[in-house]
Amino acid sequence: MAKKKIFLSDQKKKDLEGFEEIFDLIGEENTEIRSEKEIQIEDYEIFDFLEKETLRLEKIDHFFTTHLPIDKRYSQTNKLIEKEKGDVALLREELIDELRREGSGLYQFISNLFAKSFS
Amino acid sequence: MKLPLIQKIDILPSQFNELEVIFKKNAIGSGPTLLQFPELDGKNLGEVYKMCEESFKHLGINPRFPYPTYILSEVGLKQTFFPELKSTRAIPKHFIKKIKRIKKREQSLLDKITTLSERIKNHNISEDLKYLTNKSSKNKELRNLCSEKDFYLELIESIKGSNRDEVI
Repeated sequence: MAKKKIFLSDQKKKDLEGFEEIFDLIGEENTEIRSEKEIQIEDYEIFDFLEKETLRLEKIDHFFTTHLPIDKRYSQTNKLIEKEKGDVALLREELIDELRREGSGLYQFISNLFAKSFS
Repeated sequence: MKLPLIQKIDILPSQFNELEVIFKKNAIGSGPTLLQFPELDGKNLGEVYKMCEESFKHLGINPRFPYPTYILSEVGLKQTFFPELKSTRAIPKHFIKKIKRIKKREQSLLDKITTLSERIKNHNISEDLKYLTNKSSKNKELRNLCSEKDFYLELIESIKGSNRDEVI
């Protein structure tokens, strides 16, 4: 059996607070009491959902039609990787030069190690 | 077009041979969907998912865009084709609403949604997603190179700093 719905304004619902159980006793079975505000919120629920959904799809579409083609055409990632690889190679050489210089920490450490081990 | 709200589809073992028919009948891809396999455990689910993947590829449906097609699996599957959900509670709330009769103003929005989702379907999404995966791995490579460079710079700076101290 379908639920019978009773619609009340907010003021009336407030006035009748605390008497909900009595309604169940005197009212018919399957009676649902709802305020006008609840109905209004439900009315806008689908509209709100559809608006958000439109926005979501517009963003996805914009991403695939605008952002991605630009990124594909003018991607800088490969060039940046090449540049960073070059920089890293130069820094490694510089680091090795620094470490093998006489008087460097590594040089002294290995000298001490050899001195202790083979003297 | 009906409202793009989540639809749950139970697929029984007897229906595995007609997956494409089920997918076409339920207009999968035109709205968010949850595929459930109530009579299967985690082990057999792997094989079924592959069958679903082949059907999707054959029908040209992308399981992520414009609408997601989730697979319900309590145990994690070794796959990346379908988005997975561990329980029905994990369904995005955005797609769960009470179905009501649509009004005029809502109908115009729904028409717009239909056009947009068709537009998205017309993109070569699988190729674009491959490009993005490739791009993400290259970005990781770039990040690793940058952090390696930073490490060397700091190291060289500290070595030079300690040499300067010794001279003083």
